[in-house]
Amino acid sequence: MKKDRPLFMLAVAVVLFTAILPKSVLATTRVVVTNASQCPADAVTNGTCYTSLAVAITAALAGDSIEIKPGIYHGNFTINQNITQISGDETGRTFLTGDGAGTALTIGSVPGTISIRRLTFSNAQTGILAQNSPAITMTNNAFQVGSNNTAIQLANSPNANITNNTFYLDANGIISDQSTVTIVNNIFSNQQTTAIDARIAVTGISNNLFFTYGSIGPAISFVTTDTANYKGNLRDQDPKLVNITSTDQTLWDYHLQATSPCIDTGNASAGNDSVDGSAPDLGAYGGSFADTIPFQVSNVVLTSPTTSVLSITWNANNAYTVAGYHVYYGSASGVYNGTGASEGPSPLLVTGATTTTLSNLPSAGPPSTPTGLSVSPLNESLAISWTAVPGATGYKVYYAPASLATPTAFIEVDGATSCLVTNLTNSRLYNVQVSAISQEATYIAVTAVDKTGLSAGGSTPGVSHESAYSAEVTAGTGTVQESPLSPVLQEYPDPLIPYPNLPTRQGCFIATAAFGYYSDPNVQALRDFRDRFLVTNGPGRAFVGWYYTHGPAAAAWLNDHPGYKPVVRLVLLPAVGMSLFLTKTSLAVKISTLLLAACLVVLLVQRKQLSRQGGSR
Amino acid sequence: MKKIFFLILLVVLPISAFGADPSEDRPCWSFEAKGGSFAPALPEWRQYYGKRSMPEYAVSLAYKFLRQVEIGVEGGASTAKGSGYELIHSQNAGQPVYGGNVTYTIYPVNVFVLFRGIVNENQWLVPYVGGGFTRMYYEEKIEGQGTTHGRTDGYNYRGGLQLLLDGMDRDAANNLYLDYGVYHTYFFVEAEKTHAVEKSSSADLGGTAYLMGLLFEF
Repeated sequence: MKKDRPLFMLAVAVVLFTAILPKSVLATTRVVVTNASQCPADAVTNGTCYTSLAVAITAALAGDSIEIKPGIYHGNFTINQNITQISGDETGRTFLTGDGAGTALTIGSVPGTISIRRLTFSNAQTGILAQNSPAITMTNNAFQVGSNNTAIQLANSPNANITNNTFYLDANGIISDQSTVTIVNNIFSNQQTTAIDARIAVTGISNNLFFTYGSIGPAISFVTTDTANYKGNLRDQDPKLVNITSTDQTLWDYHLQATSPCIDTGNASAGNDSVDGSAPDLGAYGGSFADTIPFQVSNVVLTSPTTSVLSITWNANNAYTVAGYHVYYGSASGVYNGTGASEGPSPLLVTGATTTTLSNLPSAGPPSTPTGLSVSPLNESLAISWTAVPGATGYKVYYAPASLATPTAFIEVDGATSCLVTNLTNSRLYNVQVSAISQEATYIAVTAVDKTGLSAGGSTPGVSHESAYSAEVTAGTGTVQESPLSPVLQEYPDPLIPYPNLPTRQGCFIATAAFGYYSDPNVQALRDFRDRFLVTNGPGRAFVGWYYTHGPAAAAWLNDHPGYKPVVRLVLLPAVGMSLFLTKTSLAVKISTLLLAACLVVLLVQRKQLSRQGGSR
Repeated sequence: MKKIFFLILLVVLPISAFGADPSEDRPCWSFEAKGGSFAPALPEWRQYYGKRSMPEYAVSLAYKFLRQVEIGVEGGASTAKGSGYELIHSQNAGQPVYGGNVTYTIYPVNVFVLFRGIVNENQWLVPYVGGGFTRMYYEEKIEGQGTTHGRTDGYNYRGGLQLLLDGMDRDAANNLYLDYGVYHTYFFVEAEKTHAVEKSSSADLGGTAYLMGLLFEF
């Protein structure tokens, strides 16, 4: 035990030292995301994941670093404490945007070293403003702040190191009131006024490219034979960036095309390229700190898909580092573990092309026949439901008048197990049957892979040497299988009468429109006639069905032309009278009335005959 | 007989107003929230809706001229889901064939006069009767055929008992007064009869409701 005592004491000392250590010494990486689902598990556990960059900056202590996940972060952010690093995971997908106003990121009086990496600054009056900060480093950033704005402004911040950044379409690239600034391996393209402040000493400026500028600023020598003053700077050569003209900033891609003069022409002080280990490139994707994730593949399209072959095309990723594409496929969304295609298992490697095919994808087996079919009559329609069939991707509901031997029409239903067949004729008998259909679905996504990713080192989508998955596309593949039809069920559509059968204030039939309101005694007389003499027999029901179909339209017309209502009322009055007579009078009255009418007719005929005989006389 | 008893109550209860304490700092307003069961007067209701009654919820606001007499307005809602009858199927079968889905909803709006049998401000049990005008709004959603809606007028009468809750928890009662100006809180049970006949169909949309709730006087 005595032997162990020094060790024990040391352990206690370490624990006590850790306990009293200032928080600033225990550096924390604070993760910023646009959506809480992006938070890494350890950051969630430690409570260091934030959905607001401003909150993360406020929470950060001296010595902490801030890691920003891909996304667009709006606003003007200020760092006043000694944070060691603020960095994005991917330059081209991590935006700090001022929305047209202010400074996107202000570094205010930070005495220690602070590094700003892999961020894109857009649409701000100033991209980065460093004040009284003597040890600031900016690497692998892109600046596209606007043609009237300044990318970087250094105020009383000497010794800044600005390496491997891309400046495009700004008024000014770098403005500084100090001369001692290191500017290495940057691309300045389309700087409207000045690329570099003339007050900056030429000695620190090397291996940059200047293309289309108002002025460069310092008197840099571009004469390669001038061994005393030439420092590898290039001018008037198109850097051949992949895409910097899109109106959608999320499509800006500062990677270099294969013909770019910026490839492998950087100063070695930046370290070899992280993407392929070669001499450093110029711009935001050169040097040892650049991210190694190619840009996402866009516009993945299935062209002329058939049940047996899927043809897939996509837009090329023109970065010179991209060596091929992985085509992922599978039978469920986001699960790309397909193995059945003739071309090979997922992912397929495609090089030298932006198209491929997947053929002989497996078919689903035929589904079983739907059961539990039920049909409910509704007004001019039938409500049909059935039990779900396992594996079915849809159903076909066949229907036809019972007088026809085979179904003449069908409705395709996706997923649901019920449907409404409309525009049928009330009281007409229909046959109804249902079949289940199934078809295998294939889900596809494409990624771009760089040279290192295709080598033994491999790649991981969205993490290293391979882009994140493209937007997913899907199509049904293999033969569409249909089950046998279910047994026939017969039913006829029928108006549904609610209880109590109440009128609506908006009249919907001709008589209601003509007489003004539903409860008018004349309308009620016609309704009574309908209930007693029409719906009780076949021809009457047919007439009621016809009237239900066309009555509302006629009533609507009448309401639109109220001047005709008196005429319609006049036309309807005999029908109302007859209805009242038939529905409100007793049988004796009816017989008496009929006898009286018959007598009148006989009397009239006799009188006419007599008058005719009198005339001949 | 019931109607005669009800009329007697209507006459007798206001008389208690004359025996009551002269009005001092007394609450003039009351708000009540209540719920319960409403049994429609429609004779075939159960065949179509499967139950004898449907839930009803209502709120009311009343002004008290005297502690014994108040007038108020009340709004409620009651809804039930059931079936309709299939017109042609019923004709062919010679009896009603029920089918489809019908959602029947009524919104009774009552204006009422209420007479309370109260003679002492701290009286713990207060009987009351009243009645008034009813406007009954209705709506029927008929599957596959749309919705009908309208209104009809009628009358209502009611009776019930109010149980003063203040004595059960004096502190709570005092806090209600200090924080919200509530003088008294009652729990009450009530029976209410409504008649509202829709003329064209001769359907009485009224019925009998048995409700309970809380009443706040302020």
